[in-house]
Amino acid sequence: MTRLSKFLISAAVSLTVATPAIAETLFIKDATIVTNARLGKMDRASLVVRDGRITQIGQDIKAPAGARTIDGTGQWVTPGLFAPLTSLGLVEIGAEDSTNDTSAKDASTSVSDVTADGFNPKSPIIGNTRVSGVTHAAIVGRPSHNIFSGTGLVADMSGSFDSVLDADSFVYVQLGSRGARIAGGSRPAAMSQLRAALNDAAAYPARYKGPEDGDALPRRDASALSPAARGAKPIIVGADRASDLLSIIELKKEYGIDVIVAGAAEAWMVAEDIAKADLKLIIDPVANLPGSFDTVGSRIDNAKLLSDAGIDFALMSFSESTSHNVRVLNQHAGNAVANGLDWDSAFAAVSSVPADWFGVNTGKLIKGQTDTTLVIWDGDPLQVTSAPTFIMIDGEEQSLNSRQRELRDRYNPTRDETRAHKYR
Amino acid sequence: MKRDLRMETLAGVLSGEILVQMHCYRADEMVQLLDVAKEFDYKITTFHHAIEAYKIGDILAENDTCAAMWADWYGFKMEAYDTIQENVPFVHAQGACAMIHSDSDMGIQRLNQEVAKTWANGNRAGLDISEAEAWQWLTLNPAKALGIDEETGSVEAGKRADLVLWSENPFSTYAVADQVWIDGALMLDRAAGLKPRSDFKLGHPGPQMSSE
Repeated sequence: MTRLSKFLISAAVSLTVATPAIAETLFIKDATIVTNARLGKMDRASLVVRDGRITQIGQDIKAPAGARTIDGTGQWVTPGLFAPLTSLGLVEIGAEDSTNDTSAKDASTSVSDVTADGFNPKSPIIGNTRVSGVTHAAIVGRPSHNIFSGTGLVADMSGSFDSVLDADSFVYVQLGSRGARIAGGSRPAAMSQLRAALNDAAAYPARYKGPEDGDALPRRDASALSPAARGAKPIIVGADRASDLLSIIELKKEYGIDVIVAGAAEAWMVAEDIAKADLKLIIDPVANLPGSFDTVGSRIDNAKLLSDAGIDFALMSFSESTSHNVRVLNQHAGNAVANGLDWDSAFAAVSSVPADWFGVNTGKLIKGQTDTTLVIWDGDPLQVTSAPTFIMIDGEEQSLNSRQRELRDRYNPTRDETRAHKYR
Repeated sequence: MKRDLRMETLAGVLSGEILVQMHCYRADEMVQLLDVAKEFDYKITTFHHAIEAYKIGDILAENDTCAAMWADWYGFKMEAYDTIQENVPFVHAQGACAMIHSDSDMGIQRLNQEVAKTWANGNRAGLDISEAEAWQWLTLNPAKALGIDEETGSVEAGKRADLVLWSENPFSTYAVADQVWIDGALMLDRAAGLKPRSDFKLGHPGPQMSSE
């Protein structure tokens, strides 16, 4: 993933990103370090980041001369959190249509809708999210008139104008009862549309000789879907019911596509088939209610059962706002631990697992790592009472300020000085 | 005379027999409604959602009006734009009756964690609130707001035995309720497999036995 002129652009225009760590050596000492790699979780460990690169990491490291030192006693150092399916930066106020680019119910386009065209890195919600330790996210809109919602992006949460790392990262398609409703009323109709679209896209451009060609997709959408239809990009499929998951496994075999299923509430029922098919899943670790007939088999220990079956899964809080409250991700991962999942797997499922899927080199802390992304927390990052005290994204120290924190500081009852522009 | 249930209810509000639980987000609207309550001589017991309550904590305290607030929900509509993660502790620190709120079927399962995170954020912002004090945000204060604090909301001789036995400090993400007692009856027991199971779940996939 190239970050062309990242430093130049952020230095020139960004007011929200503080103190680029250019030509700085950072020494974090005596912390609990979660590497997500061979070294595992280390107590009283230290690391050195020089110009964004991890040059040393381990338990017996001396302070390099001239280094800025952070005492990590009682603190935890981890890779940043990666939220694997969100609508961050696409909507400011859910109910205000003019601020909401998450769906386009009156549009005729589908896969060719490029989410990045609607992404606003300057949304204060990005800052509200970043200060909670989420450094990266996969982002896409919500399907409305078509089972496809468009082409999703991967971005960092720096809030800088070049924070989109991959504007053509994946495609999202809706199945299950919601996909059935969009497709006209039934699961067979949704599957028929999906197969026809994949056939169109896999045969693109050869099939498109005349302007009306293609069974399901017009030219522009077939063109947009063709990399995913050929297995070169992931397709994220929204589905929960166990029988839908089995249909998706068949589809994956038939087309050789790279599938990630989002939702997968009933995955535990078909865990063996999922493991055998190498199907990747994004699940909500607290989804335990039969909110619909798609999720009637939901259970609170889904994550633990999938882990036991050796399934590759990430965690995402679909039960909360995926635009405004992505920051509960660590809390929900902690709840997976409370319900049987081991800590290391839970943390990897909100960091290195999705980072690896989406080709972002930020999920691990290892010697030689460049463009280092890390978070220092004031305690166990899966505890609700913990929070970041330092955030670095791609080698740059990030601001710990946000719109919510400016409001907090303006109204903080411990501050008794007169504030001229306070509300009252 | 024909009975008018609507007027009868409003008369109950004016006489103080019926507590007013009011849905309201913005600081200016809450203050306006407190003025209306003064004008007509009735009492607003609690503002719910109360996104901007932290801006008027002193006025809520003066009026003896509670605020029921989320730990971190915001932004779904314009009037919900200005919340902060310290809303509950800031209202509490200004001397008003604060409580945690959730109208989510997920959030309500872990109100202890909602309290824990907003409590931690408040103390990080410079407040010094103890866990015991913060625990009132999901026990005694909502009991007061509902007018049942003589019966429940604290562990005291003479009150109903509404008790939870936690596996560890409930301010931890890892804590789970091991036993729940309601009015002295054991309603949930993890070890023994006792928990409610609805008619709806019968015959569907998923844990069927109460011990699962």
